[in-house]
Amino acid sequence: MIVKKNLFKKVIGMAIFQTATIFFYIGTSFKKGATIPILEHHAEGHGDHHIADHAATAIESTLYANPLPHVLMLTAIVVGVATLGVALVLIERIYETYGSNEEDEILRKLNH
Amino acid sequence: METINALTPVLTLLIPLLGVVPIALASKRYPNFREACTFLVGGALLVSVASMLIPLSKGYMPTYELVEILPDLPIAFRVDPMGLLFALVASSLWILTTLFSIGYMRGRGQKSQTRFYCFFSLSLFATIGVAFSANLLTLYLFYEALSLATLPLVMHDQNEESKIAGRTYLTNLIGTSLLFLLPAMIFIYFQSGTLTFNPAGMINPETPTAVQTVLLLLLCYGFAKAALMPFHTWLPAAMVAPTPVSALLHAVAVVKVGVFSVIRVITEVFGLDMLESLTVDSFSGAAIISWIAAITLFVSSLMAFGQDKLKRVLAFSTIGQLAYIVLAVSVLAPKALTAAIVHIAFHAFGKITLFFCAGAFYVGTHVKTISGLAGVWRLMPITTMAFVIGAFSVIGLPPTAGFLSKWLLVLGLIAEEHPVLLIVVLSSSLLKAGYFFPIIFTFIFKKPSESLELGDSTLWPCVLPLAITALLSIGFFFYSDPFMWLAEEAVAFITRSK
Amino acid sequence: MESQLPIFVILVPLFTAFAACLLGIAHPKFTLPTVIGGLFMLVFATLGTLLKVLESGTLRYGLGNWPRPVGIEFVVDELNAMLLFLIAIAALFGTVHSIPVVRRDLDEQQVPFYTLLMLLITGLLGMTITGDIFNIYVMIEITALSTYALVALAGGRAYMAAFQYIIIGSIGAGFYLLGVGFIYIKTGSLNIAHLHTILPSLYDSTAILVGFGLILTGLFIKMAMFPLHGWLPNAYSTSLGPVSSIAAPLATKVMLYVMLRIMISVFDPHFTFEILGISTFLVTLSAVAIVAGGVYALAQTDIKRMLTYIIIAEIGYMVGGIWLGNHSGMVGAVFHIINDVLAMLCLFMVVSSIEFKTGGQSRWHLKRLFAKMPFTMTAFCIGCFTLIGIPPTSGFVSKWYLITGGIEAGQFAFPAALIAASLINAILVFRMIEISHCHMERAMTPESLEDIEMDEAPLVMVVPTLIVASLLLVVGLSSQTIINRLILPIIPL
Repeated sequence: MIVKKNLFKKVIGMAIFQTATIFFYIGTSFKKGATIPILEHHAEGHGDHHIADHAATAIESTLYANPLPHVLMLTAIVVGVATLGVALVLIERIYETYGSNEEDEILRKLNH
Repeated sequence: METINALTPVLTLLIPLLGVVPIALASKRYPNFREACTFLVGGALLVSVASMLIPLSKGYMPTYELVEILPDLPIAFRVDPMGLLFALVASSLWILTTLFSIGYMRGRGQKSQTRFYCFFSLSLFATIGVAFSANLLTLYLFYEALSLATLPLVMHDQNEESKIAGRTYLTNLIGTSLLFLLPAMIFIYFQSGTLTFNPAGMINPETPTAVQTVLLLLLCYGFAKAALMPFHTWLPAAMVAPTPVSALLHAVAVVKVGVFSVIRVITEVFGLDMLESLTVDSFSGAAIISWIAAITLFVSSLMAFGQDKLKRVLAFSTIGQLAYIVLAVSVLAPKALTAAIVHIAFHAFGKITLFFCAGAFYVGTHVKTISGLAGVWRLMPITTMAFVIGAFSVIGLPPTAGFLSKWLLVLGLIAEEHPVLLIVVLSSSLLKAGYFFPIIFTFIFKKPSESLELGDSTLWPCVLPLAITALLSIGFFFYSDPFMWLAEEAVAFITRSK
Repeated sequence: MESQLPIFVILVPLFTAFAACLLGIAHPKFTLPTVIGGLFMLVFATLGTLLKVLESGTLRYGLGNWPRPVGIEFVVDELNAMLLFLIAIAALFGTVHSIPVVRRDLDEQQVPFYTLLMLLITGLLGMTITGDIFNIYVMIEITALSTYALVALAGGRAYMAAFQYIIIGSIGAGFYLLGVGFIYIKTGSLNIAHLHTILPSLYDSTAILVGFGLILTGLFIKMAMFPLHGWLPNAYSTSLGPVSSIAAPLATKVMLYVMLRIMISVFDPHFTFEILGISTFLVTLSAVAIVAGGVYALAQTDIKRMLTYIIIAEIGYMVGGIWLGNHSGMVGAVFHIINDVLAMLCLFMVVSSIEFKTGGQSRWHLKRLFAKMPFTMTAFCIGCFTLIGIPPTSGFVSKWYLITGGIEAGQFAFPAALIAASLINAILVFRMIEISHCHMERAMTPESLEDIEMDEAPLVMVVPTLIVASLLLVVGLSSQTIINRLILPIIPL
């Protein structure tokens, strides 16, 4: 994305980079055989005493995917969208001003 | 000497610093009030400086620690005999210079006079600060402040010429202090953990002698205001400034700050004992400084020949005289040291007379060159007489004060057996006579050119101060006790560890 | 109430931003008083925090009363308490100073300008106060997003500069985020204090090393460390005066603070200086940065652009000082943060004033300004002398420590570069002073020179500039107090 001259391609590169980071985080939360991180208190076919049992034992963390990376990435996604928005608006403005989205053309006009 | 804690040095310093405020407020709308303020500030400063003679005569040095800006490294003041001598000379001559400035600036219809007086006051602030510094850091602080405060004065005319002069001035002064002085200072602090002046020296004795020699050179060249060659070019360049500036600053305050700092370096950064033992390959460190000074003395005297601009001759003569002081100190003998310290005072009176004369000639006749001033005797007899006296003092002829210090130096050199240096000193005196006598001859005996005539400017404010300084130069020949006393006290203080 | 102080530091600017926006929609003239009022409250809040820290040591504030290390925590010790206060006063003075320029250039856009400005300040404060490394990322992005928009407000060239800034800035933040990810995988924690206890057992892990490297790279990009400085000169020199005079002094320095935090509070000096073994390389790189910044600066005619290159050199001072890994170097670097924030604030404000009065900011616009704008130029001189390091300005003190640190560490390239930088700055400064003092046209007669009347910038510009300039002297003179009370307690060496 550094080498691309077209501003849109630069933004696309940036978005890919951000998305990759997000996937990286999400990937870390994954555990083999784990499920969504919502505590299951009312499994079918269990009586009241079972619930009491369940509460007495610790929550089995290997059963659940780690929720924190998801939460963090929610923030990162919001940030990414905002950045993308600002970048796109700027491209539009640049196009209005210079009539081009190619970096070298714009720079040529700037130096005139 | 004992030290006592006293606020007086700080209060003294505040006088010229705060004096800027009324001077600036008066501005060009009330010129008389403005100049009156300058006189008041000058008078107050002189009284305040002189009042410190009292504790000194009782054997106490007022000291004050203002604020610690680096660990164990405060901004601190100490009034010792040498500092007080220098402060006395600078502050008393300031009053006379102010009078002269009024004549010169108004006579020449100079612009921006308010700025001129303000920065003059600031320069005095920095000069007195240097005189009263108790450690190298404080000295450095005021030294830089002086470079900056005098810059607007040097560039007063604000034209192309003064711009170039300002550049030379700065590259020589700020450049050397940043490049040589600051690293040397940090290195010393790093090695010994202190920068406080001390006759026993502050250099860590374990520092290798080669490094010590380099430090000595860095420090002596770092204080480029002492105008040791090759960092002397700023002084002739600074002559574009109005004459009062050249007179007080470039004959007294700024250049003497330079040699004053070099004396401090030799006597209280290194200490006489340490310098005596500092030898590299049987060549002593102090001798290097002596030789640099001797060469400067000799070359500058030669360069003064063939100059036609009066102020340039005086500038080269000043370079020579400064080298002379440095040489006297670097001999490391008490007698020569006394000579160096009194010479700070005596040369000041002689040289300022000469500059005042140059200024008065310029105001009176609008001529700056020696050839153009031929026969000026007939138009301005008092000024010419004063010029003769000033020249005598600078050459070192009796009955002027300059003779005394030269006499002492010669005695010192004989006692310490430095035959070559003795020859340099004596021959440079001859050279000085060689370029001053033709000037005097031109002024008195040559026929004036027809264009030379007296303008209609009021001359008395210019002539009065130069007459006073000329008379003082003679007077000190007959009565020099206060100066001699202070110089001897200073030497006693420096050599007490011996 | 007193125990709630840390949260006020964030809430005040955040709510001011919203209030400024909402009230501004009702009527634009409400915005400015809201913002100024908010900033005054902020200054008091940060001052209160600072005093509290001085009195009773480090403050910890768990957001929403979540226990550590689960919740986000605010931690205020001497170092960031001082920085918070600095940000607050810089923001206040910068904003007051900006009033005339904003009124002239951004009349229609006052409301978004002030809102974004407050968000920027919130972000900077958040980065400084938080005790959570992911939270730092969020704050970096808040700061960055508002800065992108603020830079772009100038229009024209600034669009392109802002665009480049977005691309590079996002990469920098991305690197940081990735690095945090690596550390999180290995430790499962994001809380700085918690990490500090877990990490020592993992110092031989490659993932931690990679994480640290990524974080450092990200921060270097964001703080414009040479050679990753490309975005900074364009972004700050094309933006409007008010934007650059607040963003330029603060943004890079806060990044530097984050780096210091990561180095000494997340990791420990043992790791950063002994295990990593990159100190020598980074100090040499800093020396190169210092000289390169200076040389670039020499080539500029636009004062603001010149200042941006000086910032790059100054970043070199601080990065180098921190990475020297000894006491003097670190004290010097941290003290230089204070010094540099104030000096740059002062100089950028001066340039903004000059631009306001003369319509340009190239060197030639300084012509005869000593006569026209004596007060502004006095501040300019003090700011410039700080850059050179002339005593008793604060620049002298920090330079002294940095040079001593360099000698102590035996890395002589660094002190040499510092002295070279002083000389270069001296040339830069006196070249400008010369222009503003001398008149170039030979035709000018002395009489016409007397006619130049004082034409000083408005009072709201002059007063903050002079206050900041005098702060430079005050900080220089009281350096020992600042170092003993605020800097020494947090330096681990």
